Amino acid sequence: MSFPQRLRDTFLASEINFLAENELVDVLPKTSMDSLPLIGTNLPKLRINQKVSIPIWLAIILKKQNKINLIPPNWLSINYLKQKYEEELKNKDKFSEMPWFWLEFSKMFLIHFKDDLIDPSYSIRSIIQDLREIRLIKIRSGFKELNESNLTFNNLSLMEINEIRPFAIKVMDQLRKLNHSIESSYQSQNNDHDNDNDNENDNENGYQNDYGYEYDDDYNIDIDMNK
Amino acid sequence: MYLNPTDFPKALNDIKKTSLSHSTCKLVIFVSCLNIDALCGAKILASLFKKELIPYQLIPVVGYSELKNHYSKLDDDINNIILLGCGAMIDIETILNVDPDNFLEVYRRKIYVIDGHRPWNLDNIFGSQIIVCFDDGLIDQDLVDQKHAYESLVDLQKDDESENENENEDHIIEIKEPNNDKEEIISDNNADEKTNKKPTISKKALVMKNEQIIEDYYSQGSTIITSITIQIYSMLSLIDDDISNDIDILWLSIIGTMSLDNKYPQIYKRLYPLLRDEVIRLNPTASYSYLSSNKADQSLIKMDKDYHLFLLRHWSLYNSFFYSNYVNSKLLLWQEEGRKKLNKMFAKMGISLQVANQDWLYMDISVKKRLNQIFVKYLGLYGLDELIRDGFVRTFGYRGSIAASECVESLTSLLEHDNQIFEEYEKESNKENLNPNSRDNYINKRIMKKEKIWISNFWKSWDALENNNISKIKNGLKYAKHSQQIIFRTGMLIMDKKLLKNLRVFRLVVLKDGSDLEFFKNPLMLSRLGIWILEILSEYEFSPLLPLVIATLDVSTDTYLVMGLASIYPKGKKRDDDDIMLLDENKTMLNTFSIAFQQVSEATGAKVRIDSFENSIIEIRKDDLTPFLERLTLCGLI
Repeated sequence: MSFPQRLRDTFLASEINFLAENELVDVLPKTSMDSLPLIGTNLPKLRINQKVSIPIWLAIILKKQNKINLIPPNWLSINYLKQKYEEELKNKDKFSEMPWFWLEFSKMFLIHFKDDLIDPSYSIRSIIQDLREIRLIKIRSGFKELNESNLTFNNLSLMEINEIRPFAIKVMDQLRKLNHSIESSYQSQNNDHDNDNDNENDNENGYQNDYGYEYDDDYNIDIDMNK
Repeated sequence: MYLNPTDFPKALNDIKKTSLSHSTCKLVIFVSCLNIDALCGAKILASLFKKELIPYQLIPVVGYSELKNHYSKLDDDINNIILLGCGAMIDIETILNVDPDNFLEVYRRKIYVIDGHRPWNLDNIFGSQIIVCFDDGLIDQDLVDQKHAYESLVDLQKDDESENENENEDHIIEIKEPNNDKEEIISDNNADEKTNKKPTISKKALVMKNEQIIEDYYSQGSTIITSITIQIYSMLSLIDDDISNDIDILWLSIIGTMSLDNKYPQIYKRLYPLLRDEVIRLNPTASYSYLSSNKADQSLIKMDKDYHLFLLRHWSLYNSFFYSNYVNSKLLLWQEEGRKKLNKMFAKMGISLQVANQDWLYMDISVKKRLNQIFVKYLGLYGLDELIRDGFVRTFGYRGSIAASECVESLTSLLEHDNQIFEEYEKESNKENLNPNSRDNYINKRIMKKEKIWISNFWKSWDALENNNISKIKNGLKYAKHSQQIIFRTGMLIMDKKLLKNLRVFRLVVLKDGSDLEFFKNPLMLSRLGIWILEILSEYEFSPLLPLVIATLDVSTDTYLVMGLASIYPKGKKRDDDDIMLLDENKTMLNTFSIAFQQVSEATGAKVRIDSFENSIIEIRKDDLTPFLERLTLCGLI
């Protein structure tokens, strides 16, 4: 697709939403229906009041036709979310554990399955808004620690990662180039000194490269080879 | 054929079954364009079909010629056609050139008509198998005689044909026989000489009698007796689904019913208890408006006092009184004394003019809370007792709330408002050449452009009805204020300059000039002006209630848009005249102009265009107006 440059290296929010719709979710059918073989998945046979797992996009269509009721997941309740919020407040440098698609799911559930949720929707909306904001603040403050080799954010969801991915990668790339030029200038100055470039590559901040990719190792290897 | 309300769900299921398709669209919905009731009904049906994953096509139409045009272009795949707000009063089979035999075999099409206009065209309900009319059970009740008359006419016609064949074979002499029953005639088709002595004279008498019954039925005059949205809503609630638990559909039904309130107030009165029960069912605390704890994403319908004031909650108190049709008619606001009376009334109510002129949102809260009590106490003194009635208000979370009647005003003005676009067209078309040969073409083009604007307005109003967002409706409210001010200006001009003429059988207003003339090209606007005048006239104590003919000149096409409106009863107090008996608030006067216009235009040979779904609206060439109106007074049909 022809996107502007800044959107080419990352997913669109709508694309992530699309990915999220494929997740399975528990529903309680109100009518019986035979199983349907569809292209990507099979709709299992629906029998009244017998719990069954179907992808969310199917659940949305069936809900519009008033054939099912959703069983809300555990994490979408005020108590659980409030607990997570307290955790976020307590640990200023760590993220609390949230499901991989929590943003997309919560939006979809609040729109389409509003009446299936246990707690009133407006209170869930407000607590989700709070969570989102506090995690955003933490991410932003985490950018201070951006360096050229590693970045660790634990327990982020796909949408949040997707938001910071273009920025973080570009910055790290530039920093790496800068660092490389600094290194090579040091080397040309002090050929004898065994400049340990490993100082910058520590994990002291607790932020690790999310992909588990040891960027620093390769870098070291490069330097060694260049010698 | 026609359906009673209990059969509606079956019809809907038939539509659903025959329209399901993976590849093509088999369902077309034609919607009458300038009709809010039809718009809301279409929206409900659209959301229904979307849920069921049935592809459909929605086509707004302005008049019968456009309907015919679109119909002839339809694909062969189309199985079901739904007409909303049109088609009840005309013979659909003839207009759309539907050939009954061909149809059922080849296309298996069915045409469903959901329309509140009456009288029904008897061909549609008794004479056709393809057309399905949605009726509220009144046909079985009221139209028994007409049904017999129609059926006997059909039988007599059939006998005519078969008897003609027999005549050619036998050369029979006809003998009079005075007392012969219909049954004997039917069983009379033997080759026997005696039985072939047909009593044609009394058969003719029968034919004439039946035709008279049917003609009387048609010449009563036209009216609307029910709202489309209510019919659709009742259809949906009879199905076992949870569709009827949808608050948006209920809100659309309320708006649709309320939109008819201007001209036909007894519909809303009759349907209010039903709607109230539904609202309470979906929202048990609806009647306790003091329990309103607003949440951010809540969208509830509540019951609240509604006033015949114009946009009370979105304007200032004084303005909503000043621009209200009801207050205007009771207090005679177009005269200076009337305005003084209004000021005095405010003083008596204890509301200073400064407070009254403040925007409602920022008005003094103590006044707002006491307003209902104040009204109840003081309005009776000025004859304004009917100002308060029960209505519905919908809240949209923290974004605001709107009453159903205000919503209707906003949508009406969205449908009427076309000035910006029209001015652009004016500029374009002023460059065109105006030689006489192309005059007709030019006029046709102007008419087409005008109608295109109406269709785009339809889609604008469609967008405004989206569920959780009232920003477009708020926009429409701005236009509504503007257009109500125009109506008042024009109305006061008419009353001041005494442009209202009394022609014994009806009253006449002709608008030829004035700065606001181009606003009245839209029939909705014109009918609002007409109702404004009618409300004033209904308060005249010493003159009979006459219908009104109102005409405006369209300068660019040199045509007059003429509308005939039936008179309305005054709201509230009873008239103690000898002429008007008891004020039966549950009846309206029937609009007899539909037939009158047709006949007179044929008689005078004037160049007219009767195309609108409301048969009492015609467009007539400028020069033909005066003879037309003269003939109208003499025709005796009003």
